[in-house]
Amino acid sequence: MTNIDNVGVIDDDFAPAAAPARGKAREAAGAKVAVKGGKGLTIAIGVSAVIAIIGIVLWGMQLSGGMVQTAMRNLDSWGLYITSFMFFVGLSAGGLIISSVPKAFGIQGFGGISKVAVMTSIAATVAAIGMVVVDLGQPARVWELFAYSNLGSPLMWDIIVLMVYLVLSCVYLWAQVQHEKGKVSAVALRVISVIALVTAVMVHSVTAWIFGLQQSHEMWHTALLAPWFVSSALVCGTGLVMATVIALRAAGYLKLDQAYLVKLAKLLAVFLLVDLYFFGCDLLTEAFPAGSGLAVVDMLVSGPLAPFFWGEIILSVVAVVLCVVPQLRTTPLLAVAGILAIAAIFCKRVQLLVGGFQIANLDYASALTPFTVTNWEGNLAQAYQGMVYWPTALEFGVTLGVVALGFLVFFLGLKFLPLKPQGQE
Amino acid sequence: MRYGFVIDQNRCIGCHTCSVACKIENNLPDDMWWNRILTDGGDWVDIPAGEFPNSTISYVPVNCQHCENPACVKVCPVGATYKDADTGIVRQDADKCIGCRMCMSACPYTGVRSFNWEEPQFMLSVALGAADAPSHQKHTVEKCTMCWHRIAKGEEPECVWACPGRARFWGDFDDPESEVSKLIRDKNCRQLLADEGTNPSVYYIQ
Amino acid sequence: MGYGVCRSNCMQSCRYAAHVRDGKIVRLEPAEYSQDLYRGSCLRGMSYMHRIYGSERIKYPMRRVDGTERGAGEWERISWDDAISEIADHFKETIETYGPTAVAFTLGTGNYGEMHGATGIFARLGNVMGVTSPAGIVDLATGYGIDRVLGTGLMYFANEAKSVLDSSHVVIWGSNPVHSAPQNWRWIQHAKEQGTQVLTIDPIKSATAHKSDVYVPIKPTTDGYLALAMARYIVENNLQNDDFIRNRTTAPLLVRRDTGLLLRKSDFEEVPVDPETQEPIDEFYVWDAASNSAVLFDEAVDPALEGSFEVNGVEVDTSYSLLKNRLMEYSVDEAVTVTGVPKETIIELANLFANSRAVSVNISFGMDHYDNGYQSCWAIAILMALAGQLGRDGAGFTGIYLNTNLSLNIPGLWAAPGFKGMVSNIPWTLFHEVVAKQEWEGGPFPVKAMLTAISNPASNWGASNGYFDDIVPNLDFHVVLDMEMTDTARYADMVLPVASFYEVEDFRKAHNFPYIVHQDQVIDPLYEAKSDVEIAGLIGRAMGHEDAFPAEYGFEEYARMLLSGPSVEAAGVSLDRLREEQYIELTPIPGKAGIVGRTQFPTVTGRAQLYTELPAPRLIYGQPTEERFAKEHLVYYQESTEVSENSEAAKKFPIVFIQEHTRWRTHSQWFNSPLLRELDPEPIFKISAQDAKERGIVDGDIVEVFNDRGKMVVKCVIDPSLPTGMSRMPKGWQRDQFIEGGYQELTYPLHDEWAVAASYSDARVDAKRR
Repeated sequence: MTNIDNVGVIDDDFAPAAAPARGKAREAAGAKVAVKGGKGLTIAIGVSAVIAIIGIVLWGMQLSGGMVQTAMRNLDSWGLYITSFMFFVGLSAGGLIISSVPKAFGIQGFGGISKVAVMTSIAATVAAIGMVVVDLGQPARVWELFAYSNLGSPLMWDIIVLMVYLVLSCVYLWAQVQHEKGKVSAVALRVISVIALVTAVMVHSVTAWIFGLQQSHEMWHTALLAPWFVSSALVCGTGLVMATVIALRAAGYLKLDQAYLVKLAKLLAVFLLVDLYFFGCDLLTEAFPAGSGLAVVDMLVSGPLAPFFWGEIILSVVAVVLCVVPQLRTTPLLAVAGILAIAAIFCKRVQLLVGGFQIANLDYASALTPFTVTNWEGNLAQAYQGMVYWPTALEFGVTLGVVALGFLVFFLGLKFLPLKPQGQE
Repeated sequence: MRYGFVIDQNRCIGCHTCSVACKIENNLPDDMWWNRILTDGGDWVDIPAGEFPNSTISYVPVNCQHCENPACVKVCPVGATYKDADTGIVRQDADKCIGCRMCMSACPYTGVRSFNWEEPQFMLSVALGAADAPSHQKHTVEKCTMCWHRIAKGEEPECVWACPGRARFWGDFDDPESEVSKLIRDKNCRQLLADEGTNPSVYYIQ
Repeated sequence: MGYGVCRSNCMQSCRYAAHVRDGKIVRLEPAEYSQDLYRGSCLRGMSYMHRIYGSERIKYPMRRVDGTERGAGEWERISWDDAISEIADHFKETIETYGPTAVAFTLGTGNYGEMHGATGIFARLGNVMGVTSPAGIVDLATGYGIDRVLGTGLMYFANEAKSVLDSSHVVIWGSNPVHSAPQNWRWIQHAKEQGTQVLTIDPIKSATAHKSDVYVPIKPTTDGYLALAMARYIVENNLQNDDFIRNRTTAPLLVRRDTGLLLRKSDFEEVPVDPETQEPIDEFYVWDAASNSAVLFDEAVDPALEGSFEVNGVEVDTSYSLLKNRLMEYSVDEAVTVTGVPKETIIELANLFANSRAVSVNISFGMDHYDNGYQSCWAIAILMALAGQLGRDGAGFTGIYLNTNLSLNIPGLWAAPGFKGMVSNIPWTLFHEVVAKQEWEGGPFPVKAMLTAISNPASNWGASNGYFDDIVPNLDFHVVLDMEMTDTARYADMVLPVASFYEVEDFRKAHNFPYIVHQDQVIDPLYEAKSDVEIAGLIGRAMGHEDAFPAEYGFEEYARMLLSGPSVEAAGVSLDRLREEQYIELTPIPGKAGIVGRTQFPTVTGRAQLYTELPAPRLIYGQPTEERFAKEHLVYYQESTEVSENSEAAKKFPIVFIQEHTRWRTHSQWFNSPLLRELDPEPIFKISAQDAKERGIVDGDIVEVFNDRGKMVVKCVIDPSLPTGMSRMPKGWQRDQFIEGGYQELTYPLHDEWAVAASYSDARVDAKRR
């Protein structure tokens, strides 16, 4: 496996099913050129921009032709967009936390990758916000969020925290750059890093609360959801940073001592184990009373969502093994471990979102119309036999566009901001 | 005041007349039903559960439950769904709705809310129902208004007047002398998903 | 805003307030009656706008495109003038060549308006033209069977719906009012809440059975046996109501052993003739136990209910003795085998009938649709007579109440200048053979042209292949009047757009309600639709019957014909009053429910008949009658033709097939209502769990249902309401709504020769996965 392929795989992972092979190849090619200089990066920027624009056009189609073109319906009213939103909020965490923890606690860091890590956070946050926007039925009314804010709504909390988080990430990145130029003191940087860290934790908690505070979905309604979102964020964020820096190192963008990677890998293993531990706690709590929660566990373990459940478990375990067995900690395998960790968390997001709609509170038979539920041409029991929701091509396309937007932001950052470790410019 | 419904499941024969009345009175778009009749039985409408001859079936008419403690109101980021303080009716402002569908997700009563997944379509070119029936907007969420426009004129909700089984009652639960208050005092009533803590303003006589 | 009354054939009569905005009906709301519990509505009645304004409505006169096959679906728009002249040309040519009876009018029950319904304006036209009109054959076995006892004709056997409030028990026997008559069920539910016990006897655990206090499953079509076994148990255990038998039945009337006729005064002496009716004033003999001799009934001190006697050398038995002897042929033990009802249950039911304060038997056309339907209903009537559960508050039949307080002057409408009368003794069930062979009663009988109004025969023809194979190809011309493209319209040569319920003025002598109700013309007919009154006038005049259909005549002139005569005047009903008051109450005794036989039954003796002196087929069409005449005096049980488990068909086709009435359609009406199809989108065949399992069918499979007559391919649902060996499917779907075939291909095409009523459900099928 070449280093360049890794970059491609990252892309693949962002949009698992729809990334057209050609686009992937183009992306990879773009990265390859970047190795040799600015031209490659420029092409990567161009390609990302084009895909983002295609995504915007598709979004325009969604708005004009109606969201009936998505697979979302009244009984499964959120889909790939909100799944991806959760996922990108999670991804955005890791970079910032990896970057800020050492500074905040004054411990040794990860070899100068701090700025690149924050850049991944910014890109992922932009993508997360994009996902919310494309999910809205009336995006032109977004201003109402500020005019008529219902401060009691977890969604409102999340919007506020995400905004703050985005701004703070930018400030933090700016502060690091300025600090390297000697214009911002270490103390100030440390203060900013502490604030950024707290915000990062908040952003995941609040996103979790969007779901976790809904008593209507048994699967979501657990106090564990917020800390669990944080742990999941750490997993995929760390995985993303790992994969990214390996790719950038291979591309010659930066240099990084292998020891730092190993350190990241060990950290990833710990995060993965914590995440699995939370998962285990949650499953046990759901299943043990053998009440209605058992249905949730059945659905995950052996029901329609089993591929995503077992996918998460297997991917996580393999990633842990790759990270903890010294003989396996080769650069390519570490990159694989990072990507597996990201994929595992994506599986988690799918379980959460689709799973939340998979079990209806009122599952009595009723007349179904094309707006009732995704698979409406039978009865409710049949609609729930498989996954109640699976996205349409349009949703994959729009999602890919938002992902490309995230890439675009990242590539622009690489091109125009001094993100290389100090002394490597 | 706390307006609400009492629905007598013993009387309900699952005939869907109230659903149709609601659909027409409110000029609902195609494929949208604010008031649905659920079959508490097998997997299909009107098919019972169990084995012959001990099969069982009953019907649960479900519209917005106009909860005293509504989950939807709390989560709406812009206050497009809110509780009317004077009547206890949970309202939905289509002009304000941003289409985030947070309320649909938060409502425990599966399917009482509908999203206009496209520009509302109508099977007839004639606009049906009341002249002041609510309008319907693409990409916004809607639901039972408790026939707000009728109540404003001093009429009872259309589903109540239309019910051939006389299974639907409507009134003010805050008035101890109202028919609905008496019914919930005297009859064996339940609320749907009482565990959710929403305290719905719809009671079912069993 | 205007008011109207729904006139579809659900045998209920809900009033609606029609709200109009910008000249269009935007809302139909239930409107009041003087008794609030008669205010009704249903999803069909409320959504009638979707039939008025729906895109499926026929808008213009259309002619089948020349050179295309019937049923090919290619139509061209024509003008009314062209349509009428073409119809007249076809009819005139047919009449000139073959005579007037070569034109057939098929009129049905798609509209219960008195003017736009089957006995209304098109009957006037048919009588003036002298056409053939096949005899109605649907839903008549119940009334025919009960008539043997109550003398109530074909449709007047039931008490008013609200009479159940006075019942201690309501036994719903083979009917499903929860689905098919919810306005009647409302009263039963209210009675139930007052403490009336509700029982359902049905082979299927129907929606009504699920709502009842007690459900008694029974093998299909064995209800008659159950009733007879209960009757035997009652008389054997001396549980009968002697007072009722003595005072209200023909129990003491003496039957001659030699002739089977009742012993009358005229058997021994001349009797006077009633100058008015020209009928002999003849009296019946009974055996007076006091004098130990035969005396005229009026003179008897103590008429013997039982016994065999000799009167002037004539051997006689009392009617009651003969009935008891007949009942001895049936036993509770045997009933257990035949009906599948446990012995204890039969005894409990018998005791219930014998000992309860007032039993109402809610009966409709469930038992009717089998070859033994009339025997079943006759047996139940006998059971009720013996138990004395007739003719008083809360006791008797309920289900199909028709008001007897007012007779409209239908002869006045029909007797137009030039009246010829219609040939109307050909049962529908034989009509396709007549058309195929062009023969009837052993001689040539050409039928070349047909007009169909108020009905959808293609969709309601038992074993519908008879319609499509025998009628469609053998007609020279067929014109159909309808609002929608029914199966019948699709296979016609011309279709004419007719006005809807709310586009005409009419009135309805309500079913199941004690009212006559007016229909305002709320809106003008849409597109080029015309009312039946106008169309009949156009055709009538084009045929040269200007005297019967003067150009200046409209609804009002014809309506005044119907609303004339002594009965109408006595009831104080007039068109003006109807227009003013919208509905007029016709309750016989104010405050009391209408009860059949409250004082006397409409029989020769005024008494409930335990013995039928002169049994006659419902319709005489040349069938042999001598053989069964002797048997038809006394109630008996006969097995159904196919459904009976001992039938030949049962060996080949293990599953009984019932076409149920559901809430989604009234017969085939509302079949394409876009609103109702959102709730009930496709035909569904319902099968029992065991039958499905044996055939590897799982819920939601597409199956082929078949028998020797035809097939349908349709979605299948497993239904725990069904015992093994039974299936059902909601009726009324049109053929193009099936994947292949249609349910009516499978139904039973023949009739019992005495009841002459369609036995659709006397059918068996099998099913396999597709």
